[in-house]
Amino acid sequence: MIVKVLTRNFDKPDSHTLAVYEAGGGYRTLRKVLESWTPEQVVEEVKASNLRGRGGAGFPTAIKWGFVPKDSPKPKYICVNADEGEPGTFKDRHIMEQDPHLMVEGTILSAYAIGVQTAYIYIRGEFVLAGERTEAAIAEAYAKGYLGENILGSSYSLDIHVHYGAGSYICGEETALIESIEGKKGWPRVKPPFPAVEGLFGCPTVVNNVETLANVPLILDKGAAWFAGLGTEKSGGTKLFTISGHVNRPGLYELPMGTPLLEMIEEQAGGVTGGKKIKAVIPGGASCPVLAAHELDIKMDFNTLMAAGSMLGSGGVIVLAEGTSMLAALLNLERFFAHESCGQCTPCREGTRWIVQILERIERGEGTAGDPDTLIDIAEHMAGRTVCPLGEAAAGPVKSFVKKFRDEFLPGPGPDAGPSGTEHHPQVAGQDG
Amino acid sequence: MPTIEIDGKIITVEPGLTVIQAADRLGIHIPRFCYHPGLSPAGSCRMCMVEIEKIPKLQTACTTPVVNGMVVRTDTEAVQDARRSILEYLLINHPIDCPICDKSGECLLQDYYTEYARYTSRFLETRWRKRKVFILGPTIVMDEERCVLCSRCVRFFEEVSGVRRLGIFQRGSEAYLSTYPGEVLEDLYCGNIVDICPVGALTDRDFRFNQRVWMLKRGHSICPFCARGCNIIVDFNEDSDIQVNDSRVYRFRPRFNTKVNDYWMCDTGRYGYKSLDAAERIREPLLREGKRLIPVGWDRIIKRAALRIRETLASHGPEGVGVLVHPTVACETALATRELFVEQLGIRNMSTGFPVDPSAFEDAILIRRDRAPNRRGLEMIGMVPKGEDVPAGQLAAGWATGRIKLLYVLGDDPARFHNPQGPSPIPAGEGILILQKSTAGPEDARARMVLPAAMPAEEDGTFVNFEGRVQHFDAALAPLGEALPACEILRRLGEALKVELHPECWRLGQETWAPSSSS
Amino acid sequence: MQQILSKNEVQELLGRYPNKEAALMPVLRAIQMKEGHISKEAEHYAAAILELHPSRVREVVAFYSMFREKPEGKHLILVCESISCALLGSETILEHLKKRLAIGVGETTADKCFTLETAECLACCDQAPSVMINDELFGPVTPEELDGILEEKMKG
Ligand SMILES: Cc1cc2nc3c(=O)[nH]c(=O)nc-3n(C[C@H](O)[C@H](O)[C@H](O)COP(=O)(O)O)c2cc1C
Ligand code: SF4
Ligand code: SF4
Ligand code: FES
Repeated sequence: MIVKVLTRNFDKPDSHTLAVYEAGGGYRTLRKVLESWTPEQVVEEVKASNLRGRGGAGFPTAIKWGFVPKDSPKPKYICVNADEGEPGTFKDRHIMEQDPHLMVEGTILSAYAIGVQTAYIYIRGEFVLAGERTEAAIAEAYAKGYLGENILGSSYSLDIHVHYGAGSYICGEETALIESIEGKKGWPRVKPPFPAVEGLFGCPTVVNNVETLANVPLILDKGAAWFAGLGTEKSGGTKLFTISGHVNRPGLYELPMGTPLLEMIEEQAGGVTGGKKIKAVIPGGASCPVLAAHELDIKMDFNTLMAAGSMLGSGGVIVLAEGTSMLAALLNLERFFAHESCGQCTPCREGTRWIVQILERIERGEGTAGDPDTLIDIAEHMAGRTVCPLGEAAAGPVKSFVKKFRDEFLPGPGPDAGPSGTEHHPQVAGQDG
Repeated sequence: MPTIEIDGKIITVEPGLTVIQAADRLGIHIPRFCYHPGLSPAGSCRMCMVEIEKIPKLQTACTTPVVNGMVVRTDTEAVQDARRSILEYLLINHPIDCPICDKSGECLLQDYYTEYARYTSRFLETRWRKRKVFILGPTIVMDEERCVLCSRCVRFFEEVSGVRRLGIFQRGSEAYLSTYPGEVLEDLYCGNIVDICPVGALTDRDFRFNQRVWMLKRGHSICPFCARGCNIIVDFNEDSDIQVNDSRVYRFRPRFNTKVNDYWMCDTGRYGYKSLDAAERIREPLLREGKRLIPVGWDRIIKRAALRIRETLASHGPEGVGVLVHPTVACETALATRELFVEQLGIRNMSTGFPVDPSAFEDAILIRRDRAPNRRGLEMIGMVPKGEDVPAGQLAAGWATGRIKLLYVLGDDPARFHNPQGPSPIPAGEGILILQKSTAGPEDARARMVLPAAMPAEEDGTFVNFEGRVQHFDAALAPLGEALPACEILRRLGEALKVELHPECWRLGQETWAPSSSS
Repeated sequence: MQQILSKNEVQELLGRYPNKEAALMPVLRAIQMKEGHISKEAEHYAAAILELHPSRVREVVAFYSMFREKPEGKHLILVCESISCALLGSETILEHLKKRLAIGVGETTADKCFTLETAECLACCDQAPSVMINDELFGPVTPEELDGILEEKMKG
């Protein structure tokens, strides 16, 4: 069941402009809040709404804000994470292209709640249109007095700067993002200290995802109870799901938290292409453990997926139809992680490359009977032992793919290993071959 | 102050310390690659993971601050397993060329491998090939295949020497360490990165392939090349069968002392080890015969020196004799000199040589403008008799005008070491010049006698550094050739002059001279 | 040293951050927009205006895949290789382009018209397989459609 809350403006012509945004009630909430709410009230409302972070980890947003020390004499920062790079995810780009003011208003409101005077929007370097529209929206907001000194005549001031990434997935990780804004390589920092205490330029910093912040104006406009009611008991609001892979209507769908996965695939995305059966689904973006066909009767929310050994992640649902080589698919994912590993810590730097090498060897037809166990063992020794969660993200798919589709990682042609046993070149694209 | 327990041992430490630092104090070695006590923690190699009660995941000991009541285990199966896996990750792409690696014997990877690793490799893939013998600069050569990307060297330049000369470029497994492409690695403190590199990735072009480290003996000393007085380790080999170029000493390395030099030393001091076996070292007593200085035995030179001193005193009185003491001699030598020449022979013309060159280079790290190691020591002793101050200039003038008929010079002129081409510190004079020192110089051409003295690493002694820190040192190795410790030379000279110099006279009084604690 | 950016441009970028160092990425981005790539001279220039050691600048240029170290063709073609596009045949697209342009990945055509590169997920999985040419996204594309687009680009 589609609910148009976050995406309510998306279909309007020129939805990215201030005029359209204001016509739909935009910046009304900002005015209301600056006139009559204290920052604490904003935090309370967001807390009551059960809003959880949409960047991947699902951390309760108001609680994260609460970690920022109230009495710190240092400036505070908010960084908007618009580095969307998790394969299978394309929701933040849509928000920025189609309703950038929603993100900007959400950022201003959140910045007000935390007591921030400077915000950075970290936009993926490849996002050209999203970047243009975000910059234009910020300029419009300044011109209208929604940004800058004494916003709307209040005593509150805020500047927003755009900072572009330059082609590095790891910069989506919050501390790598901070390093990147500071003009450095995206080497994640060791935590603690957490950014809330010592983040950007050594100051208290909150990093939030675009979608997370885009929810804030809605919560403050319609109330926490309304927002909480849209979701599950533990997680309020709707969720932007991006469905891709072997489906008839790939795309962005706004659905209530907890929508059943199969309903999403069948009803929203129009079912699997060519009427095929589903072989597997990656439920929340490339780093989430894969679900096999028998595990698909599941509700899509943070806790249910966690209990099933996977994650809701960024909400990027990737559907793999029967005929897809799981070996080729995993190799594709692991090449991604190996390429994006920052190279700082030993298990991730060495482990991701080793995994790719083994998978390539299996693909060449030179696999050994021990490979599946070696792969799982390497992955298990990466998980939880790295500086940042990328090591974990790379390990999750290995463990789940190899455990659930073990045959395809053994020597000899697996069920979907490509034509006959002679030529061993499985294509990821299971559709045509 | 937090109290924590590590492997059942309790320790109370100051707040802010990390678990690895607390463990080090307890003598519990937690294996590490990226952590170095002299640098900020990086937390990236993941070797130092330990178990901490109430925390589900293993934690890196080098980045985890101690918290009161913390209970740490470094010896559980989970910890061992983590160490094994990190070593495996590092070793799959490592060339394991220990037999030809200069670091072999002092390499952390090698040590930990022997201690913790699994022994059968399950790596069936092809290993990384990277640059093997890459010259980074005049002193350092790099082997990229051995580098574990711990970033110690990068942090050293960033945090200690102050200029970020190295970087880690690219990312993931393609990451590699280098200077800016085409830039030559030159820095006054370069050698330190060889010491701190945990593996054989950075080696010293000077030391490389000269000795296997396990063949070397080590002694402790104080660097004599500036007023900082860095604490050093002297690595040497007295077995002539395995010496290279007939040298005994192969390197100086810094010895940790928070109050003086931390973990570091400058390259001038580091490569100063060469002075110990240099061709210019004076190996035998030398006596002038016509135009030449010829080697003679100690008995003869001591007798001859005593004779000349006695003759001069008889003919011209104490005014006819001058003594010049360079601030390179140890306090003990200075005391013995004063006892013999001032107290016993009544000589008043005494001064210290080698004034500080105000234009000499100095930095905020270690290097001091004053290139002499013991000026403060000589000041504390009061080398110049009270009230009858004879400044160096006056002594020199007396010598140049011929009023002083015999000049006895002790110690090496530090300027010689730093600037071998520089002018002689001793002006021309007609009188009898007697030099007691270790290294040849241009002034030798005018000397009647040269008495070969031990260098600091070859004798016991005490230096006082520019901050007034009293630093005692013992001989690391025996003096070269016939050279003798300075005090012994003076004792023999005294004997020949019928003056008994008892070692008590150069023993330093306990109160003023208590050695400053070393850490 | 050649001034690549004007004083005002640099001032504007510096104004966004509390220290000079932080302006490194936008400075490099601006340089690349002007010059098409970041040369060694440009690295030294950035180092000089931001008071950094060139190795610091170099680390950043080498870390981020969008900073290009050598000049490229007039049109930069990025073929998304990540999972959703791969599932829908990005490999075929890439092979087609290699053949059509007679170059490999990371190479530029002899006439300096096209540079071919692969990219990680461009966040266009709903238009898989997708290809980005300069600032423009195309997807889902077939080899035939791509041929048409390349024709257009060659003319324009
Ligand atoms: C490797 C890696 C990549 C990430 N990429 C993104 C990203 O592209 N966008 C994002 O919002 N969060 C990303 N995250 C999560 C962020 O670290 C952070 O948790 C998030 O921005 C917090 O925002 P939220 O609390 O609003 O979810 C990534 C995390 C990791 C470990
Ligand atoms: S886990 Fe990977 S990406 Fe994260 S810090 Fe370590 S090497 Fe870098
Ligand atoms: S060269 Fe040595 S010190 Fe430098 S990063 Fe490599 S292993 Fe570490
Ligand atoms: S020594 Fe602690 S992570 Fe390297």
